[in-house]
Amino acid sequence: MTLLSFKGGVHPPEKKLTKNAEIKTAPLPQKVVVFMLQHAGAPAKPIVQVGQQVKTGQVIGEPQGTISAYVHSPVTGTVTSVSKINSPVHGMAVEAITIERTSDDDWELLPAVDYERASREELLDIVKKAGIVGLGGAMFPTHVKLAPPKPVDTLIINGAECEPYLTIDHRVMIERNDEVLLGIEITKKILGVKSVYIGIEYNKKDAIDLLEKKWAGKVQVVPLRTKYPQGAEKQLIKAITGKEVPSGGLPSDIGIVVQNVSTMLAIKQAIIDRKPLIERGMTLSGECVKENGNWWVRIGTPISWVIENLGKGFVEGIEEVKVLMGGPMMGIPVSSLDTPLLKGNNGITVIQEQERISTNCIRCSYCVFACPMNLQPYLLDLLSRKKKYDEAVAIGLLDCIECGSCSYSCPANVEHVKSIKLAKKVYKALRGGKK
Amino acid sequence: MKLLTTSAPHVRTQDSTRKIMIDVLIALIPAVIAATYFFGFYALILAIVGVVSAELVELFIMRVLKKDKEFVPNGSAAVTGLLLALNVSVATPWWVLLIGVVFAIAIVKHVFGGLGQNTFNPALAGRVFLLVSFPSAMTTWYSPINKFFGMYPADIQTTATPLAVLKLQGFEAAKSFSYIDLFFGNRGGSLGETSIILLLLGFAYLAVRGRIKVMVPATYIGSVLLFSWIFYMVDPSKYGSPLFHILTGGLMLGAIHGNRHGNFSNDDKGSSYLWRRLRIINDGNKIFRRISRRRLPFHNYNECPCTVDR
Repeated sequence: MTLLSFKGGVHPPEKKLTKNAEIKTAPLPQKVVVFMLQHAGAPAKPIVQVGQQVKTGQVIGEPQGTISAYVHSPVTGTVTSVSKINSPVHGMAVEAITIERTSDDDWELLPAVDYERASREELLDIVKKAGIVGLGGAMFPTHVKLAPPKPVDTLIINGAECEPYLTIDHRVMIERNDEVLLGIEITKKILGVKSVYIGIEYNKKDAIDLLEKKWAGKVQVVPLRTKYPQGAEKQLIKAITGKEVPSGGLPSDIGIVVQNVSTMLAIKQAIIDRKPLIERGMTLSGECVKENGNWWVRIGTPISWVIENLGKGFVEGIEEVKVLMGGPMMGIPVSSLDTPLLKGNNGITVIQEQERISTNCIRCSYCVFACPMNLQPYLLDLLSRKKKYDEAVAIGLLDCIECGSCSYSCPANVEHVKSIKLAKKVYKALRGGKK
Repeated sequence: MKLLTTSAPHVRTQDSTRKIMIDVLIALIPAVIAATYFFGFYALILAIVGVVSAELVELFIMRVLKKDKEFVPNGSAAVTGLLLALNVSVATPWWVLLIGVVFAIAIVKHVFGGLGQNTFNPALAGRVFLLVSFPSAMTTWYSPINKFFGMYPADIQTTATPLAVLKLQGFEAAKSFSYIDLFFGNRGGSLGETSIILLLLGFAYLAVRGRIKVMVPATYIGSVLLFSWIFYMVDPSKYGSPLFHILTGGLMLGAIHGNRHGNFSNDDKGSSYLWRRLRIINDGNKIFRRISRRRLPFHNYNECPCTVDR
């Protein structure tokens, strides 16, 4: 069998330590911290005061502007503070609401809707009210993505999960595939598309076999080569359809919408179960935490609580660790264990630092061949460090998806991604966000 | 517990610059063995002088530049030293090679900023330097003695390289070299360039280890085949056959270890990959210029220092 894929990419050790661990429901935390910015776009506006009682699922943050999302209370309790906290994902202080849990869940549910009879707008409205964002990690508001500016004909479900360690999408596909399928049916209705594909890496053979059997005739299951970054949107589209998203464009430009497996589950939970996005599946893994596993956890749970109660603490005798939000390739290291989980957290990876000393680039070209976007990382790195941003943009700085394949493959440990990320930020700031 | 926040990706390949350089050195070992067999014990001495002196010079430079604390010996200097040693005649005194190595490492490599920053290939610039400074030693070729660790007798006759014969006497005269001899390396020339089969062995190692893209030397050699075939069709008595050109000169050494601008592949091989798709076009273009220059009758290609293949 020929497995579909894209050009470039790398194959880091898979380390799917938790691929056979059933997803367990975590106990409710005593305290949650909910960021008002858990999505791409403008932060939500807090609408609760200190001392106010909130129910599980109650709206505590309202969207500001089109690209924004609702934020809900993940527990039933009392608001104890509304203040700015440093967010490692956004690299700045973001408003956050702290809630002390006072009792078990007392739900405030979303409005009921019959998905078979409801109109497209009604369904979209529920998705928006549920605060659903892309759960693969990018956290782009789903109600915006499901209302593309151009007509689309294809829906691609992302089950690639190419990051090492992470297994939550894999487990969701195995354990909750009926619900995911319902979510797909709803999404199909919203988008009005006919063909649906699901791309799964070949290291999840059990999921491929299961879904091929259960979803036959409904969703086309596409086995993909196990290669990083197979789950990146543009690479997934290239692998499955052979089409390329134009530079600076969106998948909808070529009639495609990509959604993550877990997002489909969240859509089903919003429309059928009337539950907003306050809980998600995530993988707790890595060599430096005692127990690895897959968990349903409430959004806003502090990472320290997750590591102590679900991972039963750090492995002893380790001085320095890296606690990553996400997998080891693109994960964001946290500077404080008080940082809470965000909607996009598909995993917490606790690993040790690998020794790395950056030396001179020897033009070995490994990065050029690893780059899935067909860029020249060594040149982008050089131009970025020399602050020649316009030249860097001319050779595709803004096309970089920051997947890290270049730095992973670099024998000289050059930090391409670091300098490229910085250059992108500076360039966007200099140009005032205009291209 | 200390939390580290260094940048992503947080896993890295186990590969390193040092491993690459060691692979290149391993790939050159067959050529050193060939040199020792064809040109005697002194060839081995030259190779060792090249490697050791290059590393020592680099260490010294690092100390002078006060970079020795962060300096990681990675074998890149050894590669340069060995390639320079393989690019000289066995008639070269060891101290001449030493001067070449000092020039290559101190001036060509480190003045421009060290590893990966050099504008020219250090080994080839070192060769040019020696050719200008010691023209006699650098252009005197001995015929092979075909004995491991053998010594040249005192009354040794010098010989002409196949390309020199081709240039001065035409292809009919050059047919005295059998293809088998040329393939195994039984001819006069630079130490490391003569044995095609052992160079290919090193190439196979590099290819298996993923250190070289097969396409680059393939296009290089392919275009030599194409253009020498065109000239051969024009006048078979004057111009050599395509196969003759592949087997003579430093072409194979250059194709494998010195892809472009005379840059030795694993020293500076990235310059050939501006864009993945343009790689072949770029290569073909450079080679066309090289060949067309090389074939012009008034050009003394036998001593041309600009190309790896004399």
